[in-house]
Amino acid sequence: MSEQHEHKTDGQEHNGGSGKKNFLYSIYESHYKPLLVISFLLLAFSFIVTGHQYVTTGDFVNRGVSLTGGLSLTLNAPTNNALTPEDLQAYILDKFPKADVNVRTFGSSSNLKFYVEASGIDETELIDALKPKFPELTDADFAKNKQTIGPTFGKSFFTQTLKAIFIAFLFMSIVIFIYFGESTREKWIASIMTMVAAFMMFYAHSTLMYIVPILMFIVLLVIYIRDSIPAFGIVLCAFSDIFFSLAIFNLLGHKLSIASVAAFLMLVGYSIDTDILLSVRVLKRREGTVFDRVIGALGTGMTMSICALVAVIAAHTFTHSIVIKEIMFVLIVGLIGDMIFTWIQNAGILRWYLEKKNWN
Amino acid sequence: MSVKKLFRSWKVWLLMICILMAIVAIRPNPWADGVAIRSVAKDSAAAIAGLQSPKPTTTPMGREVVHYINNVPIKNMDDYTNLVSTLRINTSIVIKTNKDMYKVNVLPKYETTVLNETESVMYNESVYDESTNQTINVTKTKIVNKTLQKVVGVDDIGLRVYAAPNSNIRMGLDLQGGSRVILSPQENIATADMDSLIENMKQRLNVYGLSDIVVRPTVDLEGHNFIIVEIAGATDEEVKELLSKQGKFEGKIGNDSIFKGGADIKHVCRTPDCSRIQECNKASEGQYYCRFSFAITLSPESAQRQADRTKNLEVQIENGEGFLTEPLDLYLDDEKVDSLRIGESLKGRAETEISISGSGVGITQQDAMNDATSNMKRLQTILITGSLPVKLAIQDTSNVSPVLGSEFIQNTLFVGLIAMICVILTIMIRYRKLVVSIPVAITLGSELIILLGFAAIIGWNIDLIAIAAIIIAIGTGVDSQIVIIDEISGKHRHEVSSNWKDRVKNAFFIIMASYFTMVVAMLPLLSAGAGLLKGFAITTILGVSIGVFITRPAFAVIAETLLRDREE
Repeated sequence: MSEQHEHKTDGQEHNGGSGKKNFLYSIYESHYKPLLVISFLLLAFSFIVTGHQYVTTGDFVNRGVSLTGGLSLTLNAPTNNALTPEDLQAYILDKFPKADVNVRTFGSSSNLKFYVEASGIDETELIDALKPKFPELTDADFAKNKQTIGPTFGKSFFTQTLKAIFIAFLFMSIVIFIYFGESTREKWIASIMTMVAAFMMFYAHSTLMYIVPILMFIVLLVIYIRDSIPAFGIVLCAFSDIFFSLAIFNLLGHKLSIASVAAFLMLVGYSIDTDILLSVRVLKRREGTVFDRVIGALGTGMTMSICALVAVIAAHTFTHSIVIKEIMFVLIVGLIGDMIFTWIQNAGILRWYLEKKNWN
Repeated sequence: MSVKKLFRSWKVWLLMICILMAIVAIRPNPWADGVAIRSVAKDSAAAIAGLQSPKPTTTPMGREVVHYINNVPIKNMDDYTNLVSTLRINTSIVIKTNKDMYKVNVLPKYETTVLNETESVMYNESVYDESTNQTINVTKTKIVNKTLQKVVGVDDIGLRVYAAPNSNIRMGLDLQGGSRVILSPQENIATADMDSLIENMKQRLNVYGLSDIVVRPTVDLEGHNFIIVEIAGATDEEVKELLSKQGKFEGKIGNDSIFKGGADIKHVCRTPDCSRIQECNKASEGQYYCRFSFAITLSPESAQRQADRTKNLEVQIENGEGFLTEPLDLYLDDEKVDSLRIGESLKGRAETEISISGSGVGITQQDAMNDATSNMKRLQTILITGSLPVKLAIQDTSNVSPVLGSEFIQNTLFVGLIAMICVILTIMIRYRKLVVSIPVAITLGSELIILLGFAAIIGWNIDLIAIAAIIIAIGTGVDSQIVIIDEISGKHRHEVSSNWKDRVKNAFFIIMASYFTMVVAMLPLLSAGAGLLKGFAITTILGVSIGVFITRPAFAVIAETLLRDREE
C-alpha cells in the first residue's frame, strides 16, 4: 500500500512546513503498524495500572466520599494565617488516623475556600477538631455548606453508575454497528441481544446476574469483529480511551465522585465523535487514497479536539467549583487519550483492514 | 452577499423563532431589584395582612416582589434586613409590592409565665346530647393557672424573601443556596403508599410553614425508592428533623395506649392563648431550658380510654397537690419524649382537653426559647399530620449557603464566557476567515439561549452539573460545525462534489452518528443512583437535540450561503 502513496498527497499541506513535521508525517504515513503497537501498549499499560489499583486497594478506582459515604465541608479559609490544604489534611489524619481524608482548596486567593472530604469520622468530632484551625467560623458556618452521604447510598450509587456506564457502552456500540456494519441480519441479531443484555444488567442484583450480560457483550464484540472491523475499531477506541483516562485518573491519585462519573459517561459519547468522522471519511468516500482521506479527516478531527480541549482547559483553570473542575479534568485526559487512540489506533486498524482487503 | 437568500430558508426561520420564544420564556431583566417573597409563615403578621406564599408552580419572574416598605425603596436583601431590624411593636408598616399594597401590624413576641394562682375561665365545648340527637355548644368554666405574659421583643413579621430574580431560569440548589435531603423508606412500600407518603410529607412541611419545597420520589436501577426533598434558599436543619421522624405519636399510661397521633387527636391548638413558651430556667452555667405547652383536643373514644385507665389509680399528695401514681407518658417514634403528671381531678374523667408539654435547651435564654419554640412547632405539626406510613432513613443531606451559590453563578458565567472566547479564537486561527467564525459564534450563542429557554419553560433547575452538561452539549455543537464547514468547503478533498446538497448531507451523516451515540450513552443515567445525575443526562440530551434539529441545520444554510458567495 505504501507504494501507492509515493505521489505527493494533497493532505501534506496540512502538515507541511518544517522538516520535523515532514519526518513525523512520513512516519505516520508508512509506519502505522509500529504506531499501532504503541497504542496497544498504552492500553496494556492502562490495564496494568487499573489492575494494580485493584490488587492493592480492592477497588479499581479510588472512590471519593460521594461514592463511599462520608462527610464533605466547604469552609472559608482563615484570613490571617497561611493554612495549606496539606497541613490541614495531615492535622486531621493525625487526630483520626483511621479516617480517609482529602482536603483541597478552591476560589481566588482573596476568597479562598477549603473543601474537606472525610469518611470514617463522626461529624461532630470532625467539626470540633477543625474549630481551632478555623477560629473565625461559628457553628452555623460549619453547617452552611455541608454534605453527608450515608454509606449504603454511596455504595449503591457506585454500583449503579458502573451499570449505567456498561449499558451506555452497549448502546453506543450498537449504534456504531448499525451505522457501519455490513449485514442486515447481523444488525438485527445484535440489536436484540443488546436490548436483552441492557435489560438484564438493568435489573441485575447479584454478581452471577452480572456475568450473563457481560458474556453477551463479549458475544456481541465477536459479531462486530466478524462482520465489521471498522465498527469494532471505533468501539475499541472508545473502550481504550475510557480505560486510559481511568488509569491516568488513578495514577494522579484523583478520587472518583458523582461528578466524575458523569464525566466518564460523557467520554463514552465524546470520544467517538472523531472516530465516526474518520470512519465515514475513509470508508464511505472514494476520492484520493485511503491515506489522503485519513489525513483529511485528521485535519477536521484535530480542529474538533483542539477546540474542545481549549474550552475544557479554560474551564478547568478558571472554575471555582470542585464539581466542574473534576468533570473538566476527566475530559482533558480523555480528549488527549482520544487523539492517540483515534489517529493511531483506530486509523491504524482501518488502514490495516483496508490494506488486507486491497482497497484504496 | 445574499442575505435575502438566507431568509428564504425555513431552517433559518425556525432558528429565529426558537430564539425569540426562548427569550420570551427566559424574560431576562438585568435591572430587576427588590426582594421576592419566598414564603409567608402561617398566622404571622404578614399572613394576617393578606400576603400569600407563592404557589410552587409560579415562575421566578411571576413572584411577588417587595419594592417599598413605608415608602423606603427596597433594592436588595441588605435594604430589607436593615429596615426589618428597625421595626417596633404595635406600629404598622406599609409593604408595597409589584402587585398590591399591604398594611402589616407588627406583633409583639411574648414569654408566658405560669403563676401559682388559679382563675376560672369560660370556654365552649360541643357536647352530643343523646336525648335530642344533636350536638350543642355548651359554655363551661374550668379552673386554670393564671399566666403572665411578658413582651420580650418584636415578633418576626413572617416573610421569607430573597433577592428578586432577574430571569425565569431556575437555579439549582448548589447555585442559589439551599438544602437537599434524600430519604429512603426503611421497608418496602407499595406505589399507592408511596403517594400517600409524599402527600403526608408535603402536608407536614406546609403545616410547618415551608412552601418553597420540592418533594419528589425517584426509583433507582435496583428498584429502591428514594424521596428527594429540596428546600431552596435556606439551609434548614429543621426540615431534616421534621422528616426523619416517622411521627408515631402515642400517649400511654403504663403500658396501655391512650391515644395516638392523627385520628385520635381532633384539634391541636396553635394560637398564643393555648400554646406557649413558659418557665425559662437556668439549669447550670451556660445551660438554659424552657418548657412549652399547648392544648390538644382528644377524640371522645380516647378520652374514655383515659377515664377507664385512671379510674383505679391511687392518688398521692405532693407539696399539697394531688397526682395520680402513674403519669401519662408521651412517645414519639417509640421514644419517650415527656412524662406528664396527671392531676387528681382527672381521675376517671373523660377529659378531651389535655395539655401537652415539652422543653428546649440552649446556651442563652434566647437560644433555649427558640429551641423550645421550634420543638413545639414540630410536635404540633406531627400531631396534626399524623404519622408517615413508614419510617424514613436519611441517606444524604447537603447544604449550600446562598453566598457560596451566588459566587458560583458569577464564576460560572465568567468561565462560560472564557471557554466560548477560546473556542471562537481557535476557529479563527484555524480557518483565518471571519466568515466562518462569526456564524460559529452566533450558533454557539443561540444554542445556549434556546437551551436555557427550554429549561425555563419546563421549570428545569440549572445546577452545577447541568452547567457541565451545557458546556458539553455546546462543545459537541462546535464539533459538528467544524464537520459542516470542512464538508461543505471541501477542504479535505481532491474532487469536491459540486452538489451542495450532497455536501450538507455528508456532513449530517457524520453528525447524526455522533448525536445518536451521545443520546444513548446518556439514557441509563436517567434512573441510576436516585436520579442524581438525571439533570445532567436530560440537559445533555436536550442540548444535543436542540443542536442537531434546530441550530445546526440553520448553521449549515448560513455556512453554505457564505461559502458559496466566496466560491462563486
